[in-house]
Amino acid sequence: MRNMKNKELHKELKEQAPILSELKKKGYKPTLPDGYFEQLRREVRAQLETPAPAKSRHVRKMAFSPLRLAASVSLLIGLSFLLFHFLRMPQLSGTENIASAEEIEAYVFSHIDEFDEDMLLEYYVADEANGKEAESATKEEDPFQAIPDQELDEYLDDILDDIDETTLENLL
Amino acid sequence: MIPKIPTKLEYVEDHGVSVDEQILYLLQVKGDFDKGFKLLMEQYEERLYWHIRGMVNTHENANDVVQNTLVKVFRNIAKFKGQSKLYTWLYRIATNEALTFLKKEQRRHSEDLDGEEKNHLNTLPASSSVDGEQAWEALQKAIEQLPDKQKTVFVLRYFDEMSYRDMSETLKTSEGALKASFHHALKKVEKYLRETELYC
Repeated sequence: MRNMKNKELHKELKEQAPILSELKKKGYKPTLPDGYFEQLRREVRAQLETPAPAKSRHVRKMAFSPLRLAASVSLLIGLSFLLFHFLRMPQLSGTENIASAEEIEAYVFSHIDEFDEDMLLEYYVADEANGKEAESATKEEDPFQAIPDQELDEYLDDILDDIDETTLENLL
Repeated sequence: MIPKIPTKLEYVEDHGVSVDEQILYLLQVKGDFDKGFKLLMEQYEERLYWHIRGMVNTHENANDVVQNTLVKVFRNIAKFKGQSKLYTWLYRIATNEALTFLKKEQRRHSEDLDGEEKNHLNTLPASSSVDGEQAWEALQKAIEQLPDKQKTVFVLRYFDEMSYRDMSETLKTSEGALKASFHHALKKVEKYLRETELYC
């Protein structure tokens, strides 16, 4: 272990980790076999003299962990729930094939006479109010907007590192 | 009389250009593998060994990983374009090799690690004066408990005394995130050592 040249590190250790600071000052390092580094050079050279193994394309095997299994089951349940509710929704006649916003718009325009005027007006006012409310809520309540995505990701990774698998499974 | 134009190596030697530049010149430009190999090994073999040893604990493991690292370095140094420092490139390869090794080990011993390693900790002597070897072992056990990212940051900072700037280049992570990781790692290792009653 080299002497502690880095003053910043010394300060960090002294303030946050006195035991580690002491260990660092003592500078203990385990002994290595005699002539280890000469041997290492010989071995590295010997390996370099043999041709590099050809790169083989291998298929990455799916590793099953309890966490992945739990996530898959949750996803399956979620999808089943959505499908079940979708199938149970009452269908309006003539709307079975409606799939996109354009088609909905076309349907509304072609059937505009069938809609109650008051109901349309009420819907428009409510929709506009909701839109404004949602917009202001997003602006006020999103504390992460000012944080760059990368830093947020790193912070979340850090938290994730600290959580053990069991806790994570319980959270799911 | 026309003055002799110095070769780049002579220029490098005369003008005190860094060892890293000399290594790259020998290996990439001059094609003098023997000299380049010797210089790189003299400069980095020990540092890389102790960096890896800090991460994988035992000498046997470190020996395997450092060999793989150095073989990879020499096989790929021609492709090194100098977009980062040679020093941080070498540490990045060593760190990746050590992490790959640890992942393989974890997969192999996923069942055993929980029980055995933790129990071993409690058997460390509760003494007020421990010798260097015991202290090293306790420290290694404490490092083993860290998640991979914190382990890497801890070893680079504590053992290798790498600056946050170089660490940021090596691990492609922001300095702020590295400081936070090191702080978390310090707290965990310190707590661990305190719990083993390893007072220095």
